[in-house]
Amino acid sequence: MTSSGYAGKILRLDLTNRKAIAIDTEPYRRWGGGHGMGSALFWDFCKDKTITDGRHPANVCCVATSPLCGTIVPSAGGRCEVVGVGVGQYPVSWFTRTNFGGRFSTMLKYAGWDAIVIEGKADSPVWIDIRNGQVQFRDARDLWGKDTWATQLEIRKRTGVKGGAKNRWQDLDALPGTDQDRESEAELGRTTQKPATLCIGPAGENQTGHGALIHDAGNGAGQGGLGAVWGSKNLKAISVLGTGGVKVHDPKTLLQARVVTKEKYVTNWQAPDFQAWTRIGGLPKPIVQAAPPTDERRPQSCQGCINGCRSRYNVGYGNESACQETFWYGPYVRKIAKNAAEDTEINLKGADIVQKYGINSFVLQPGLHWLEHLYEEGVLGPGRQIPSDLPWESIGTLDFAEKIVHALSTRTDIGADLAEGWVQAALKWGREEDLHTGALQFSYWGVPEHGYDPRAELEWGYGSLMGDRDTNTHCFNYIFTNVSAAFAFGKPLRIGAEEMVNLHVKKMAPYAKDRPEVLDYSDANMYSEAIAQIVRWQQHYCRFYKNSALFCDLKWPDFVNTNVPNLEGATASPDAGEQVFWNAVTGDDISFEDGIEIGRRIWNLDNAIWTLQGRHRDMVHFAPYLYKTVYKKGEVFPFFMWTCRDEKGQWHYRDLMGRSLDKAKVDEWKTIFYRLEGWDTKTGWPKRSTLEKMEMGFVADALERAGRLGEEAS
Amino acid sequence: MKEDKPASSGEITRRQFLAGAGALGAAALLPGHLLAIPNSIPDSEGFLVVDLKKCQGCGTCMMACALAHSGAASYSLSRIQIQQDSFANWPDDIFMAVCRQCRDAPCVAVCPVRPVRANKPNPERGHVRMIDPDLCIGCKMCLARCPYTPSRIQWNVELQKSQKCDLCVDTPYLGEKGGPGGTQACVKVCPVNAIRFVAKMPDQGSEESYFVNLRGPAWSKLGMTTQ
Amino acid sequence: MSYSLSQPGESLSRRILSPVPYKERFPAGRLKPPVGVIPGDVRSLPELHLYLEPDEASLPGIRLEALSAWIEKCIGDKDLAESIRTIVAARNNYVDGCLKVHKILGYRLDQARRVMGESA
Repeated sequence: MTSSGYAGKILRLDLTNRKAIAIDTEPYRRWGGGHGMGSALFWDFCKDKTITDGRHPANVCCVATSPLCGTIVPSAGGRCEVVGVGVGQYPVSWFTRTNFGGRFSTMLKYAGWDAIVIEGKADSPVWIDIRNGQVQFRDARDLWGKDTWATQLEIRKRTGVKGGAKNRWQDLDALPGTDQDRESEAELGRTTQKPATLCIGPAGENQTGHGALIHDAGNGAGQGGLGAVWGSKNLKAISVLGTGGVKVHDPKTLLQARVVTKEKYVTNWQAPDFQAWTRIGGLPKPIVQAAPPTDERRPQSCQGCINGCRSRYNVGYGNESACQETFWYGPYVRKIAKNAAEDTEINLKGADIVQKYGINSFVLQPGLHWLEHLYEEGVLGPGRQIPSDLPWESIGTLDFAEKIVHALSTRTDIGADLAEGWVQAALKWGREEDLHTGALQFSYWGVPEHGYDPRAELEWGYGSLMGDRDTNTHCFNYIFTNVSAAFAFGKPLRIGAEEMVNLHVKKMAPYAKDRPEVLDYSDANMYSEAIAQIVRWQQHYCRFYKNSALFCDLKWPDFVNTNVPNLEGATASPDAGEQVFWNAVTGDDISFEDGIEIGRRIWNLDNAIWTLQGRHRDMVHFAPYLYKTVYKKGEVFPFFMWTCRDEKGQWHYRDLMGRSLDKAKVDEWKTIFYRLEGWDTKTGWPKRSTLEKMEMGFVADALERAGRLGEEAS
Repeated sequence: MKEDKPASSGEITRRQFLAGAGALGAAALLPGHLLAIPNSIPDSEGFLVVDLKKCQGCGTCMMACALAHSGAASYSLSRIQIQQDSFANWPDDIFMAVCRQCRDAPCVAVCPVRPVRANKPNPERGHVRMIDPDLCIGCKMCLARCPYTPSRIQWNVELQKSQKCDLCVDTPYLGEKGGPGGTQACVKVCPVNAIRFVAKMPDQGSEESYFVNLRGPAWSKLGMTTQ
Repeated sequence: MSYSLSQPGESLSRRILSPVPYKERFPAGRLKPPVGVIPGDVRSLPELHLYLEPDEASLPGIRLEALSAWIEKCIGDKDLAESIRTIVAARNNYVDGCLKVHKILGYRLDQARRVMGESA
């Protein structure tokens, strides 16, 4: 049965027996799509949910689209979610998530699939060739060892699709490898497009914790080590060609809302407000280290985006890369670059290196800082306590970048130990103290601090802690960036602190609606029930709207928008809010708040999986340095401005640097959080009453059988 | 399999045509100039021109086009085609293929359907060259005859008919009037305004005449070349 | 723009252009939305100069007030340190301070390079 927005079928890949099985999407519709659908599929098809290493053959990896993929919902048509038990986290690799953009989810929908469920393990490397309903397992032994770009180019060749941007229509029936003996005689259709391929490089093939999944030149699903999961399953790549479409329930409303977004909420690029305070309403600009290398370029984006965050240049490097993969090497490049142009070039070529190897460059952001520290302290290097023959004296050069990424990807040199996880390597090397001093800033679950210190940005730290990974959800932290930038430039603030918080909480139903205190990050409020509510709100919002419906994290939510006279952003708006788009595509009739509730259910399902994996509140701790050291003022930035209330209840922007977290108080705060979520406060496990109210009694049954159901009385 | 309707005088059914094509053999597929019927059709009152260096490759125009015409978003059913190669450099990484609303439109000339061609200018809507789906017999002659790469005619696998850009004349889901003087979905949704509707016919002697520079000082302020 | 900084001697010029030992590094982060605040450090004045070069998309993160003491102690350039102390004390805002420090650093580096016969 097909509903609007959905393709109607999910593809189960049994890698062990090399079988492709189509199942109906309908039973999973209640979970929305993306993460929710992925978690539900994992629940159904992973037979051993106690596993804590994603390389275990029982692991199930789901690649899931949403009804919005392949449509013109602004900055939601092109994202794709991947879930499964991860690799390389500490002390446990949780069931986790990662996400990437580009063309893959669009093409998968047009091929007639809502999601892919990857089970078992192939006996030798394979790549999956999807052409509409035709799914074939292809030998990838000679692809194994190729980098991600070479892999995709080779797959392109093997599907008979030409390179270059100007090509004829291809009849899928006429392409090499199309099964002419297939059951259905219906034409497969025609396309001018190239296959959309998701693949691993050496980092995933060698099952390292930083193995990523890469699509096209610059789309990466980096966190969680899901690349290693594919490597453990001998899965090199999945390529998709799709010639179908996505039926939309109310196309007129969808088109109208898209146009409203462009004309009302997005700054007009022809007469822009360069300093706009908004998330969806900015300009098409690549988020790259320093200046782009040339003006001979175009903006480039995921499918359906309203203002692209990448670029393609004429210089032959850096294409489609943006954000962190262009920054990880920045502090070192500056040590050797002669000028800004060289700085940009090396950084962008460094991005290409991580894309090709298929590595999560986030580990290098605090990680390389730590390794350099060990080298300079005389602990790491040739013939030293931690042996390493990498040319540390040339850190900052392109040669060093390639060598360290190569080592990490191939388990050579220090990569051998780091492959299992950075915190694990630190412990093996006798460097536990670095987790206490902050020399190694891996803040939660053995994953790197993002750039928003948990001692300052509370919802980021707490949300990561109560979840499975670096939350990487930028819902609120432009408060820090916009306000801090304004202070840095001595500019008047476009929005005062009180107005800022009110604009947010107006839309934060149900837990935080009209409760501005949830954004008070002052010392007096940092362990409060109000903070627990904003963390809940954010995790539930993200679990549905961003991780499941697949609204892009860079553009949504849009609470505050200076392009609009009353400053109210697109989020939850009656003309272009998330729910407007969801309903226009699917024919549902949800309110914005209904979406939060769906997110809560998904979050509860995730917690149930973590509980089966062995989670207990006693394991839920930040890295020690966050308790033992203060976030030093001025060392990495002069201030960290945020909305705070004073003793008189007046709102101000205050600097949050200079404090630490109190372990005992964090632990008390956890109790508040568990209680609000309806989980057993003694353990953090879900309770039957909570689950049954969400029609998840089957989850309670499983937890009960495992002896891990939360007690009602707590 | 559909039953053929009985032919009345002057009409050509699909079966008859295909039988004829079989008899003609390869001639049926020869370049159009050998089968040319001189065109004396009025010029279209509207054209789409594009800026190949500006497009951000988001595909919104394609999805909006298919959506406005059929109620479903799709690449294959889009009447504008954006092709891109992630591994190529600017400006060779993207190509935008729009129907040129040719003066002597070969796709019109080659349509075998009689007494009224399925592919013809619409006199009520600015002489836009468009395909009537009720008349189209699915012979694919227009599709093959379009001299441009990729062909500006698309094949609808489900309906077994050809379709093409009609400047949004027939867009039941657009919510606004299309055609010359009206709205074109692709133009309207493009985030960077890389597509423009113009009333003046571009030079028919060159393929490049439809590729124009739609950037300007504002584009330059965004840090991108206007060359 | 000229500053009241007399030409440094060869020994000082060499120090102005050279990195300090790792232990004497000066903490220097960077705010780059949406990634956040990225830690780092600088170990030389040429590196600091490049670090402070303005761009539209990020902001350097250093303790301007501590810069003079570092330059004086670790580079040994008292005159430059004093000039920067004055600039920082008189700055209109943080970015204004960074830009003015960037400028005077560029001037001083040019002086040092001329002494050492290097191209800028």
